[in-house]
Amino acid sequence: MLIYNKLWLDNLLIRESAEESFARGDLSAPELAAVKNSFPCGFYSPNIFVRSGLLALTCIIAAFSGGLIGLMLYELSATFCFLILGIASYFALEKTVSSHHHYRSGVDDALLWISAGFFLATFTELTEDIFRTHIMLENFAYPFFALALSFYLTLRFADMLMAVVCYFALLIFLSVAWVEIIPWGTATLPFLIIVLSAIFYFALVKMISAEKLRYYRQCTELLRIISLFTFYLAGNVYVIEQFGNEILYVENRSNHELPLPYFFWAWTIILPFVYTAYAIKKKDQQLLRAGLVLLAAAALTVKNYCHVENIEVLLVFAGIALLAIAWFLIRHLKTPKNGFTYQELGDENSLGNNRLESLIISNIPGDTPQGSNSPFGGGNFGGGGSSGNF
Amino acid sequence: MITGVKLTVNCGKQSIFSYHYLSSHNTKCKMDPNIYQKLFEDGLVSQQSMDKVEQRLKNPLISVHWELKTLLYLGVLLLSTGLGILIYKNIDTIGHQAILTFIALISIGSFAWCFRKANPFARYKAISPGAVFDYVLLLGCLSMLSFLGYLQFQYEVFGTNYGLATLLPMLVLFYMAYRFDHLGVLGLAITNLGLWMGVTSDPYQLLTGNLGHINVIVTALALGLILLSAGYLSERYQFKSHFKFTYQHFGLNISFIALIAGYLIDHFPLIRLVWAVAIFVLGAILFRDAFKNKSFYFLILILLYLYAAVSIMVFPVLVNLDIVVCFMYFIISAVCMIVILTKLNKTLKDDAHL
Repeated sequence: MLIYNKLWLDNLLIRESAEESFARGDLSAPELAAVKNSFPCGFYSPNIFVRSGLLALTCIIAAFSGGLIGLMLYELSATFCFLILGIASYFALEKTVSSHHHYRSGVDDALLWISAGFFLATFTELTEDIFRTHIMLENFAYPFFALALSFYLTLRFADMLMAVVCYFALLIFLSVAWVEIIPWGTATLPFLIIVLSAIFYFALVKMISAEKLRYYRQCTELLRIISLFTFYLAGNVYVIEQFGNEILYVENRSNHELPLPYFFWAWTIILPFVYTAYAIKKKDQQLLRAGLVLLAAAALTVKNYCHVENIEVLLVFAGIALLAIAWFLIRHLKTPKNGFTYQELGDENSLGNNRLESLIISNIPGDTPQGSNSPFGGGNFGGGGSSGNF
Repeated sequence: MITGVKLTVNCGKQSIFSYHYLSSHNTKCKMDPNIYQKLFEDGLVSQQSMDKVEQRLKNPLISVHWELKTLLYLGVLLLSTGLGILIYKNIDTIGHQAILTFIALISIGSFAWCFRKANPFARYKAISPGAVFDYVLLLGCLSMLSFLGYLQFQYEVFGTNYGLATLLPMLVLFYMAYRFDHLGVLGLAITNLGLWMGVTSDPYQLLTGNLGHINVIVTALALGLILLSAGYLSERYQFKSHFKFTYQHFGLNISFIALIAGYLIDHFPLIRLVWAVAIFVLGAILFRDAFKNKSFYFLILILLYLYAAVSIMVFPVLVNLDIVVCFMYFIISAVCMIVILTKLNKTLKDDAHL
């Protein structure tokens, strides 16, 4: 199912592990070279600059090819036109990946989304007339088509963003089914999403450690975090009220009170703390980040409902509190404690710094011209707020 | 479809890729004990390195560097917003002088602290005394700018002498950037240089802003070329040569945008030709430099600017010819660009960087 050379994917994983260890100073350079030599990987994966350049250029090509074909065929039928373009870009995608071994090169990223877009457009054009008479069917059909398409593309290309689309398509499809089929479906929708997210979470944890699915580990790891987000957001007061009003407004045109206020308020406020605490206990960095983001979300939710007269005083105190916490933790974690540290363990950074150090040392003897001395730690494009030391 | 060769390497019962999620909690970490065991058995990794890796795996360490930095930044943001509103609401009781004094004290205090803490001046990249140092310096510079801006807005100290009003902070900023080796402050100083010369140095604002007048274009071009020369000289004389990136980043964008705008605004064929030649000459010079330095960021930027320039030049001709030809041009040229980029990437593969 997966289009990539599996041996190369395995080798890539080994190479990345070795590179990480090298960046942390555990492996020596000859060892890294030996590992790379023994585990070849023929993918074409250029750096981020080339990748974005290729992405932009592929989009230009696709746009003008689309325009050209559109000029010729649009009179005939828009559906046919979209279908041709979708098939053409999909074949181009298969070709670049299978014969030119592109792997996250910008070309494949662009073609993946372009072909998906054209297929979706074809589906929309094709079914427009049918749905005009069957509105109920439309609610099912779009999520289902999106789900089928994104599921196929995720399986074939293991793309992380496509996996996210797939996850949401599945969630929306099941929610629509629940609401349409079960009479009290709307009222219990938050619980459905909570339960589904929990099921997905545990399934994903299983999938992450499943050896067979190791090529999809990036996707499953991202989806694990996404499922934690949907788990929380489904019970968040603000989200429930906004979505609830939107759905119920269509049905009986009235603003509804929040049901079970204590439960949902507790959910909104306590869950982020639970995430954070669990993350610290389990030393799970991604969960920690999710927890911190959701803490901010909880704070914003509370702020949205409790109108404080003097907001500036609140801001000042919150700012001081955050500064104090950050300052305390930075001091506290200067030396690693309980597996946490303030030190950077990064891969590229330390690599860059190492090279930088050597550069400075090589500069000291005199003004001998150097081959390469562009900054490594650059990336500060004006403005303030960031220092030059990353 | 390519069928991968089945992985036959097994360590005992498990394949080396079995990955116990709950036993290695840090999912960002790609390190897997089985992989290293295999590398060790194959003789690719020495005992010494293996010990280090095992030590690392036994005590996994998580860096919360960026999380804490974000918290710090958020705290500063909330505090400054809160204080700003507080002052705004109570301006009648506090008075302008008191606020000005307060801002001046912050600025002077920060600078004084920086001078006390700083390492002696170095021609080369100096190692920052600490993360806090960089922020304090930035605070000092930003509050100095607020102070001067406030002074001008409230009391019009500089009157209509805007040249002096922007020259003064610019000089201070350049001094601070060089003295304390701070790229962020250098960026601020460059922005101020642009202000002093009368053009914005933000490429995006340049693009969306008013570039319709030849005077603005010439000024912008002058600014761009000054910055490019500053970058060149920094490298040539090894004087803060790591500043070259920042200079070049601003200089390159501004020069190209100004040149292309200059081409578009003129209607005499001969002058247009001069602009066009200037674009390609600059492109060639910068391309050689970026290629020598293996800087992919600049290579891509230069190529895309040149591509845009060529497209702008031939577009009117092609549209008059036939719309299909025009479409074909874009398709074929973009394919050519992709080929060029791919080739370039292969040539520079090993040690390309920003």
